[in-house]
Amino acid sequence: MKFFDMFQYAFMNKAFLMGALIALCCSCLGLFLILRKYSMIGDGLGHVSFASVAVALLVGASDLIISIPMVTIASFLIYRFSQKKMMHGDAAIGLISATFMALGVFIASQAEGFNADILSYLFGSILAISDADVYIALILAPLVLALILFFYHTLVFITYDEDFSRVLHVRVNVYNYLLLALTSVTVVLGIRVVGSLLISSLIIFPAVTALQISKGFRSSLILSSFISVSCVIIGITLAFFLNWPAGATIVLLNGIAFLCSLILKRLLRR
Amino acid sequence: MILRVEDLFFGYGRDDVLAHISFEVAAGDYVGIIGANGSGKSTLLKCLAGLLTGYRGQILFDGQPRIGYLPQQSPEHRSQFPISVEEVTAMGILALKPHPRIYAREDKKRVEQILKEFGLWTVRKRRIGELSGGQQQRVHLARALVTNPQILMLDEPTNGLDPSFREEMFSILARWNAEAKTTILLVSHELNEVAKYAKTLLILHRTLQYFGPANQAESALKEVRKNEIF
Repeated sequence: MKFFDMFQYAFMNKAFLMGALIALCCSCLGLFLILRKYSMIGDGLGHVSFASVAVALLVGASDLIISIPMVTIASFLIYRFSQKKMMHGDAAIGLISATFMALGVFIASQAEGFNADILSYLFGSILAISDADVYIALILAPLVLALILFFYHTLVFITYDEDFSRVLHVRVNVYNYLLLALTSVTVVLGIRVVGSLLISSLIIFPAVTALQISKGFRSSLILSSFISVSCVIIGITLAFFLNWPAGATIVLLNGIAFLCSLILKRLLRR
Repeated sequence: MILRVEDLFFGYGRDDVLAHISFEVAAGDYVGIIGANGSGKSTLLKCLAGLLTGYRGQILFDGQPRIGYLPQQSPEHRSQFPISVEEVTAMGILALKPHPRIYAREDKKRVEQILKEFGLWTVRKRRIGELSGGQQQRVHLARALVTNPQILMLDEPTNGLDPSFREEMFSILARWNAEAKTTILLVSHELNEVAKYAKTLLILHRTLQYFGPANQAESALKEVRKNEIF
């Protein structure tokens, strides 16, 4: 099979488009989340997303209609718990994530007939990407980019020093909720590509890789987006030709990119 | 009078951390807020800065003064942050602007001026995390002062820093207070330094133990020490 033959398949075109858009969103949002020590929120919301898909399959509703509000509410709960000083952010993520994962497993074990469907959300399946997923991703990615471009300075100084921002009357909570809502939708869509177990890596890896070699915030954003989109495109291509699992391939490529950045950082220091 | 606090109460749970706090701060004053660990001094400053809400009583400012704020330093959080010294300093100006917050030429000039004044101009392009704890805190002080605030609030700004930087920080504050007439509210456990530079002392131990001129606080301080607050 020749290289360009893969574009004959509609599912591959959808996978490339959706994958690239989600990779872009994950890398941009990921940089802000990581620097605020919210790295694991993607993992937590991935688990919530899994539970929401189980609920949707159980009631026979569209999974997007159930997942987007459910995951968004869960992200707001995590934020509220950590803001109210009831517990640390990581503990709040662990708590919510474990509860929803258990709910997902419970529903899957009690229901019959959709266990095979739910597995595609656990590990990701580019065949499961629907037209609706792609349309939402086409709306989401420009929204994320617009948020970052227009509120760039505000997001940077909230990320750097939340207390300082509050003292200067910056509406920190509004931006935080906006960031969480966009992250939630990104995670809901992202699990189609890499699965709920690996979605956090799309948020963490590109940003951490970029932070190893980039000096400025803007250059970190650009580099992490480039790494993220490249890994998804190459990953899906390799998965198609070599019959590898797409999600795992994408994550492993991100891992390789991270190792390369560590080596490059060392070389640059000499 | 630039700030008046009337019968302030605040508690994190059932117990009040602050109770019956009332005082007035005149414009241009330098108030040192001191007390033992857990005495409520940081809580008081956070209430004044608007970081804590849900208190009882009143906190009244004269108009809407520009406030500069310097939190305790946390270098471990910033070691990875990809942002330059100049960008951190510019935050002070940009935070006060409407969207989209554009970093204009006059802002750059003001940032240049303050960085030169604080001896940070040569390191302006370096990542904040590459600087020592003392230098980082100097950058944050420059960020707090870049807008010429009427009130500057500082929460244990010298915590964990070496003695030479502590002395430098206190003398910078004294100079700004004298020359720019910036009202300073400084929380610190560095009793000797605060007593040396502050004009007014506020001694706190859940309730107000003393509020008055620093040079007349000796007996209050002795009393407080006797009661093992420090």
